[in-house]
Amino acid sequence: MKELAQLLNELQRAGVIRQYALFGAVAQMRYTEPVATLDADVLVAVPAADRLDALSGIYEFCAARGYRPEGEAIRVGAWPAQFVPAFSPLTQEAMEQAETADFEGVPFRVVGADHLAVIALSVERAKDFARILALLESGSASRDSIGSLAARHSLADAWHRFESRFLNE
Amino acid sequence: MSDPKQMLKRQAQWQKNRQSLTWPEKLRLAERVLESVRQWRARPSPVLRRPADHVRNGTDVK
Repeated sequence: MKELAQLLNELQRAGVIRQYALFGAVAQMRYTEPVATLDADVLVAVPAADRLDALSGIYEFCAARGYRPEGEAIRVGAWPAQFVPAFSPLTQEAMEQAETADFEGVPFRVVGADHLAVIALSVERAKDFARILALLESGSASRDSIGSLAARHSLADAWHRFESRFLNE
Repeated sequence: MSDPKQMLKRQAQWQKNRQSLTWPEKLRLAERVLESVRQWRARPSPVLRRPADHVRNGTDVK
């Protein structure tokens, strides 16, 4: 994972990406007990985001350094890294407001707990619901903080559905 | 052995304690799982043994 942190910082320094932040299960593990996952998800802002091949610069940069595609991801050390352009106001905000963690001496931008929960809420798969519950249980996100962030991103109804399904007795 | 409910409670607590590991330690655990899945997927899939055609068709009945 340290190798991925170094690569992402290099991509940013080289101007291939404007910004990045780790999200998904790998980011979740900063706050909760470990969970099984098969890849590392990274939100990225690229200079020409509207192009169909918006991620081609990342692939070229990685290929030049010996990193190879593996399915929809690029294998970096042990981890297949999946690059996802920050596609919505929610993911853009999550990326911009990400925290910079210290990963064994390397700065590593990671989406915060509230944004992780609300991104999960927007996807609504079973594992996303489990992520929200794990973040609440860990105390890293609260019902109030998720609720207000969800409302700001037009996800109030989804949050109420989640509350009545999983949290209200 | 003690009551199963107590055992499950202790197991849940033990798992919850992993929350206090550092982030890199948690990721190293996840990496081990990832590596196991990778090895498992790389194994050739087992060949399903089907009854021979003549057995399935009943043509071997004397």
